[in-house]
Amino acid sequence: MDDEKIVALFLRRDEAALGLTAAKYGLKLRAIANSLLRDQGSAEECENDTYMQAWAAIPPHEPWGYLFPFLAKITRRLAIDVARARSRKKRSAPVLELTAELEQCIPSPSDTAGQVDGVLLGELIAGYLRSIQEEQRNMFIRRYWYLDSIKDVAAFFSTSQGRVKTTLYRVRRGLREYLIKEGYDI
Amino acid sequence: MRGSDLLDKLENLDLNLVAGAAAPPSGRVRQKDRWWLPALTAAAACIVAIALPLTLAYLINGTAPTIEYGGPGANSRNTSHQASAGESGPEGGSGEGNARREPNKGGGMDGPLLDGPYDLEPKVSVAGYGDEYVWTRYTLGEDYTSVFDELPAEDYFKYNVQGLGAVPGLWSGVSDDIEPLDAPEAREWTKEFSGLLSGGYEEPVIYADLSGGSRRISIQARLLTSWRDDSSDGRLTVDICERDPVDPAYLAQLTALTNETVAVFPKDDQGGRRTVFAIGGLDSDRCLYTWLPFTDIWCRIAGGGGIPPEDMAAILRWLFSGPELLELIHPLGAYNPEVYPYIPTPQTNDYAAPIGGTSAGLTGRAGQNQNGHTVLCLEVDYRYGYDGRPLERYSINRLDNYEGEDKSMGSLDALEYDAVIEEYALQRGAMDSARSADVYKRDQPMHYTFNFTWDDYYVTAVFSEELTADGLWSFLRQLSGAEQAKGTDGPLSIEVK
Repeated sequence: MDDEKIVALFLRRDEAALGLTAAKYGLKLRAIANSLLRDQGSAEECENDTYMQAWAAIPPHEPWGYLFPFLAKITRRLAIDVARARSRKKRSAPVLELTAELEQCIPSPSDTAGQVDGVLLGELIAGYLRSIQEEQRNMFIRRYWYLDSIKDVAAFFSTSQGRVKTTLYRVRRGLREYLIKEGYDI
Repeated sequence: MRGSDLLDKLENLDLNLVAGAAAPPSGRVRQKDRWWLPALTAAAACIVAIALPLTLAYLINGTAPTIEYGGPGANSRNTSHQASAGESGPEGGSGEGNARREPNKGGGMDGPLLDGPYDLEPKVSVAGYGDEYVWTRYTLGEDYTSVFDELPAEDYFKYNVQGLGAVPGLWSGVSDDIEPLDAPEAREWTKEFSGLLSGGYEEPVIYADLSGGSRRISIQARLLTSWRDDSSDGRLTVDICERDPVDPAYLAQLTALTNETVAVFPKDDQGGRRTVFAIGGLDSDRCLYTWLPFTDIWCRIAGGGGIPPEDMAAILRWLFSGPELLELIHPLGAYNPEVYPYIPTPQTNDYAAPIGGTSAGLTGRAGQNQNGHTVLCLEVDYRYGYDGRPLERYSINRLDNYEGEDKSMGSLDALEYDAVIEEYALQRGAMDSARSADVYKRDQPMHYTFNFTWDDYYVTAVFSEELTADGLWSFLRQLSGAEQAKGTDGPLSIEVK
């Protein structure tokens, strides 16, 4: 079924929207959560919570034309929260790997400014990503937005892990230089 | 802001970009979908590799070439110490009198492509591994290589099978699970490496894994023009390892596909023997591999069909010159063994102490490296007598040559128990602080490093976290002779001539 029809069902408060969403996107949403959590049970919980949050968010949101990314964003946030809660008890390797890699994008590692405007930063990063080649951009997004492991990114692009690492390294470095050039002191 | 904050804030990324990465790129054929292709190609190449030289030799000379054919691990993968075709292997032929090919007679799948201004010919033989893999070996002996100041780059590859295109296995065995090198010198080394190349490359990246039992470095570069394309054509990788990581059977499989050229060079000024193995053709994926003299560091230069052979040859010369980068693999980099003639190498498996000591637990190498430093590096194994193996390694430098920061605890003979234990406690405390400040370090192994002077030498000893304070004191006492060395045949002593 088209995404537009599913969104329309959400807006009409027709619960059939949930079943149709699960049928169309359930596997992919679970995969995003599982990349980080490495646990099917927790991934399924994130998926189910996604549907609940989507039900609460549509309306007022009307994700015409971007239903999957809208849902994926919710799943991503849920998965990161669960991973963080776990890491308070014991180390969660995938989250720490991701955050350690992303540290390299940050021009100045000080912990002040907590309150860097997320929307503004998102726009800046988007601006940088639009300026680089499509494959480089998509590898970065698969790794840091979809939370794929290096191995999964390599499989997604039918390439070697070494090439993925090289690409991500260069993109992170380029993003860091771009943020410095834009005067973004974070 | 920390990395975790950035991870959160990335959720605000434009969802159109996110959607753009939702589906895999179209139009790719995964190499694993054609898993059968290398096997089929290998079978065809084997048949040609066996039949063609035999047929040509018979037609030209009326005699069959010598076959040298060893079992697993035999002549099929020679070290730098034994390399020319025609040597008899365990089941081999007579050694000399191999059929000689005329260069550039019609090309085809097997044979040289290009005319040169010279009239040299390789020795041709048939080599093999086990019962399964057989290939033609073209040996460029000293009579060939000594004609040139520098062997023309194309000569490494022009005799091998041409037209194969991609040979993905050439890159295997080294570069997985390896991270970019985080060292201040990395930028300088990258620049040095880029200077070897003819141009048109993206900036290379140096990867390293220096933590495990076999240290390795991988330098990776790609031609700018090949970036959009996932083929190996524009790919260049240099792998440098403490030990050869490639399975010999797997290497034999690749060699059987492409044939092999072996270039043997006259001894260098330091008496080092250089032998270089080349697989792949001029217009396909190809590689050069070798062991550096004396240290036996293994190097492989793999390039796609679009990489100029001259660039690969330039890298090879650079490696033989002993660049500083090699010291990450081995402190000696490359060294002159005539300074210390009794030093055993890993190949000889000689565990006697190399320089007058009597401990059975030591292997060692010593000499002057290319930067002029006399470095002695001893590797100690569990037979030294410790429970577990807290002592991992130690290095000995001449005091008058030592250029590092002086962190010495003092002279070995004058060390006192309280001072040693205090230093131990300081390092233990620093490790604990580092771990509590950064959870990412929790599972990373940490080490103790203790420095002291010993007669005219500066010694650095590195231990794992298993070391206890009393274990450290006992080690130092054994080294100075105040205590009997445990687990050895006699008192431990180290003299450096």
